[in-house]
Amino acid sequence: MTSGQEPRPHSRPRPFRRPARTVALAALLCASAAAAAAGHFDLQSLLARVADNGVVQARYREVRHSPLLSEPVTLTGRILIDPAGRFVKTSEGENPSTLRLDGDTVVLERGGETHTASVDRYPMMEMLVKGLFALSRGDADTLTQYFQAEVTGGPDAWQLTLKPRHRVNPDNPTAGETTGLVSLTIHGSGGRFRRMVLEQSAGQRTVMTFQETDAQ
Amino acid sequence: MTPRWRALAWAGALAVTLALIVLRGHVRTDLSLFLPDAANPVQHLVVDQLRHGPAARVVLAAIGGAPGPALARLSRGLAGALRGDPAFEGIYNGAGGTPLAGLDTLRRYRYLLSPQMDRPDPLGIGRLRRAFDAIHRRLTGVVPGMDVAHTRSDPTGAFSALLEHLRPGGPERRQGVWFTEDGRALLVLRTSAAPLDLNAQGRAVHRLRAAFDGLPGADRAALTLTGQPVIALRSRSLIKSEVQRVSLLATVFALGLLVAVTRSWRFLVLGALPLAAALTAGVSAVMALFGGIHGITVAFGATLVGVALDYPVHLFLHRRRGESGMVAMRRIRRPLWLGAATTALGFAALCFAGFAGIAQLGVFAIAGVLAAVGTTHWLLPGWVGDVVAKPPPVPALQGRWPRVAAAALLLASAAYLIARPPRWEGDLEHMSPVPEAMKRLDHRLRSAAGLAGPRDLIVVGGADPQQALRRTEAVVAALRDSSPVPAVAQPLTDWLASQQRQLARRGRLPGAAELRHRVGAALGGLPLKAAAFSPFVEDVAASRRLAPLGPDALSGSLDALAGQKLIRDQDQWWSLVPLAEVTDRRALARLVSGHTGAHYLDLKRETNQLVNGYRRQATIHFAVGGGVILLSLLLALGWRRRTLHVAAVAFGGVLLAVAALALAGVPLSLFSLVSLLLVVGLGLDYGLFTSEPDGTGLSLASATVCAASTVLAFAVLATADIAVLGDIGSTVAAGAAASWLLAWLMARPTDINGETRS
Repeated sequence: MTSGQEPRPHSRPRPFRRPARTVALAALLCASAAAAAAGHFDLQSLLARVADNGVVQARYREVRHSPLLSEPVTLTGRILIDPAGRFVKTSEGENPSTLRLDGDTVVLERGGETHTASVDRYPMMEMLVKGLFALSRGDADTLTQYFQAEVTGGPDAWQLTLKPRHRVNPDNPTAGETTGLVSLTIHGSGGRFRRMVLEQSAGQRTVMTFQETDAQ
Repeated sequence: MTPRWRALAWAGALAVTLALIVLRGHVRTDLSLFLPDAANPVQHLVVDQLRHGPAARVVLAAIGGAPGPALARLSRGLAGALRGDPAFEGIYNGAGGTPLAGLDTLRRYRYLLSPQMDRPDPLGIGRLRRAFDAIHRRLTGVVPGMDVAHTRSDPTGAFSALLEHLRPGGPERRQGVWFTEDGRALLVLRTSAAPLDLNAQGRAVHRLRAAFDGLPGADRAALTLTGQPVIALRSRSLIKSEVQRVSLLATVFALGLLVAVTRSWRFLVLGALPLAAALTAGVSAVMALFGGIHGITVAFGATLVGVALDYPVHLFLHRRRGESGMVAMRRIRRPLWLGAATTALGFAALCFAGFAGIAQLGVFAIAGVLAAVGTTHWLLPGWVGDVVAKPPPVPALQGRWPRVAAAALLLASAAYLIARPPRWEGDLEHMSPVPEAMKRLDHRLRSAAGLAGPRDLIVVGGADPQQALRRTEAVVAALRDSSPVPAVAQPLTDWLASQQRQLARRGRLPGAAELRHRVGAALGGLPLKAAAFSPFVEDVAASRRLAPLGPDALSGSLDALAGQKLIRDQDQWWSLVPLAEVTDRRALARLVSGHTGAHYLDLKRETNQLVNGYRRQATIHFAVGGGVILLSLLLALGWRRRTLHVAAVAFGGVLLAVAALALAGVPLSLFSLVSLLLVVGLGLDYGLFTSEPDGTGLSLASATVCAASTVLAFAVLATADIAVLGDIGSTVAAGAAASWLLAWLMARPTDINGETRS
C-alpha cells in the first residue's frame, strides 16, 4: 500500500526476480545500515534483521486467558514458520495435535483424525500467519498493507506491535465486526522472536514464549 | 395539381413529419418487445422475475491481470470508493467490513428464525453440553486465536446456522475477498436505478469504471464487467451501431445499383424520394401508434428501402422513348398498386400479433410500402424528364424447359422439406445481440457469485405473504421428508420462517431461571465459567418478548442477494424456492402437485414451451398473412391462369427460400417468418410484372433490377451481428433471389420487338 510495488504471493518461495525488488531491498539495507549507524531503530531495520533468519523453528509455551475459562490454559509444543507460506504448530500433552497450514489449506490432526479445510474457515489465524509470514521474510509492503506497525526498543530488545487494518470475519459479516484480533505484539532481539502477545476481543489474551531450536 | 405543386405538398408533408420525429422521437433498444409473453400467471411471474427482478440490477465486476494480493487490494479499494455512492444500493466483495443491511435484525431474531430451533429440545441440557464441549475444545486446541466474542451470547451457534441458509455456496474467499476459480477478484454490485432505465444504469457503470481507474495500481490490472445492466448497455450500443451501418450500406448499395443501371443522376435523386417517404412514414406511423420505436424496427425498416426502390425502378424502366412519365405510370399503375396493396395486407396480419415488436414491424412495412408507392405514383411521373433508362439485358428463355425446370425446383424443394423439415431456433438467447464470449463470461461470473439462475424451482402462491410462507414450509417439509429426496430445496423460510412457525419456536424457549439452571447443569465438570454465558441467557429471555418478524423488515436488503424471493404479482404473493441437485423431476412434480398453491417449474421445459407457443403463434400469423395476400390477389385478378402464375412465383419463392435456408443449416425463427411475408410481397411484385403481356420486354428487366437491389440490401442485413437482423437479412435475400429465379423461368416469353409469343 505504501509503495507501488506488488506484494509477493507467499504461497511458495520465489527468488528476487524483479529489478525493482532488488533495488528496494538494497535501499532497505542501506537505510537500515544508515539508521543503525545513526542509532535509530525502525521497521526497516527490524525487517532487515528478521529476513536474514529464514525459517523459524522453535519450542513454545502458550498461556491463554479467556473470560470463558475458569483458569488459564497452558499449551506447549513446537512451531515452524516458513516465510514461503508454511506454518506448522504441534501441541504436546494429553491430546497431542498438529496444525499445518500450506498455502490456503489447513490440516488439523488430532487423536488419529485428520481434518482438512480452507484457511478461510479460520480468519483470525489467517490474519495472524499473514503477519508472521510477511515479518519473517522482511516484506514491509504486505505487512503494512494488512497492519499498522509500530516498532519500539533497539536491535537487541525490540518490540513490534501489529494492529489489523482490515476487519474480516466471514462468520459474522456485520459492519464493524472483526476477526477478533485486536493486536499482535512480538518481542525479539536481533533477528529472533522471543515472545508474542495476542490480544483478542472479549478480553482474550494469549502469551507465547519461544525458545528457538536449530534453524534450517 | 401541377407537378410543382405536388412536389411542394410532398416536401411540406415530409418536413413536418420529420420535424415531429426529431422532436418526439424515442428509440428503444431492450429486446423484451420481441420476447414472447407468458401463457399463465406462474410463467409470467418467472419470466418477469428473470427480466426485471433484482438480478436485473446486479453488475458483476471481475478484476484480473495482477497477483492475488494486488487484486484483493483493488477489490477493497473499489468497494471503498463506491460505498456511499447513491448509484449503488449494495456493494459486496466478500470482505467482512461490507455491511449487509438486515443482518443485525437476523441476529436479534436468531432464536425465532434459526432452523436449529426446530430440533427436539434445542436448548436442552444435552445440546448445551455438546456446545460447551465444543467451545472448550476450541479454547484449548492447537489452532491459535479462536474467536469467542459471540460464543458468550450464542454458544449453540444458532446465528451461524441461520447464515448457512442465507448464503448457500458463494464464491471462494482469498486474501479476505471473493475470488473466482480462475483467480480474479469478484465484486457483486447492485445498482439503484430501475432495470429499464438504461441511461441511469449507464451512469452507474461509468462511475464504477471511473472509480476503478482512480485506484492506485489499477493500470496494471484489468476490470471486466458483466451482469444484466452491462449486457443491456452493450446491446444498446451494438444495436445502434449495427442499425447505422446496415441502413447506410443498404442505401448506398441500392442507390448505387440504380445509378449503375439507369446511368442518370436524375433517377438517383428521384429514386431516393420514395425511400425517404417510406422511412419517414414508417417511423412516424410506429411512433404515433406505439409511442416510440424499437432500434430493430428502424433497422428492418431501413432495409425496406430495397423494396421501396422497386416502385421507381418499375417506372423508370417501363417508360419508352418519347413517352411521358404520366403515360408510363398509367400503364403500370395497376400491377404496381396491386403488388403494394397485397404486400401491405399481408403485413397487416403482423399488426395483430401478440408481440409489440412484431406489430411494429408490420405497421412500419405497411406505412412504408404505401408511402413509397404513393410517392412513385403521384410525385415521380412529373419529374422523370426526357432521359430514358437503358434496361439491362436479361435473356428471355424460350421453350418449355424453363417452366419444367421451375416445376422441378419447386417439387424438389417440397420433397426436401417434407423429408427433412426445417429446424426451429429454440433458444431465446439467440436473439440477444451480445457476443457469445460475453454471455459465457456472464454465466461464469454469475455461477462464481452463486447468482446463477436455477433450472428448477418450486413456486408457492398465497393470498398474503404469511400464507405463501406457511405453504412453502409445508411443501419443503414434505420434500425433505420424502425418501429418496428428489431435490435439495433452498427456501426463503430457512431464514425467514412464517409468523406461525416463529411463534411456535418462541413458545418453546425456556425462561431465564430455567435456562440458567440448564447452563449450570450442562457445564458440570468443564473449566468454563457459567457467568460468562449470561449474555446468552439474557438474549433468549429477550427473544421470548419479540413479535414475529415479517418479510417487510428485510425487504430491499438481504432478499435481493439470496436466490430466494417473496414477491407480489397480480394480487398474489409468491415464494420462489430454488432447487439444487435435482435427481427425479417426475417425483418432484408429483409431490409438489399435492400441495395447495405450489407449482413445480422446470425452467428449461417452460422456456421450451414458451418458444413452442411462440412458434405456433408466428406460423399462424404467417398463414393468415399469406391467406390474405392470396385472397386479395384472387379478388383483384379473378380465378385465371395469370393468378396462378403470380401465386406460384410469390409462394414458390418462399418454398425455395425455406429449402435453401434448411439446406444451408440456418434455423427458422419468428423473424424468418416475418421476412417470408415480405418475400411473398416481393414475389407478387415480380410475378405481376413478368406475367403481364405488356409486349415491351421491359418487365423482366425491371423485375431483375428490383430483385438485385433487394438482394443487395438484405445481404448487407444478413451480415449484421444481431441475430434478429441477420435472420431477416438471410431470409429475404434468399427469398428475393428465389422469387426472381421463378419469375424469370416462368416469364411470358416476349421479344424485345414487343411481340408476345403464345
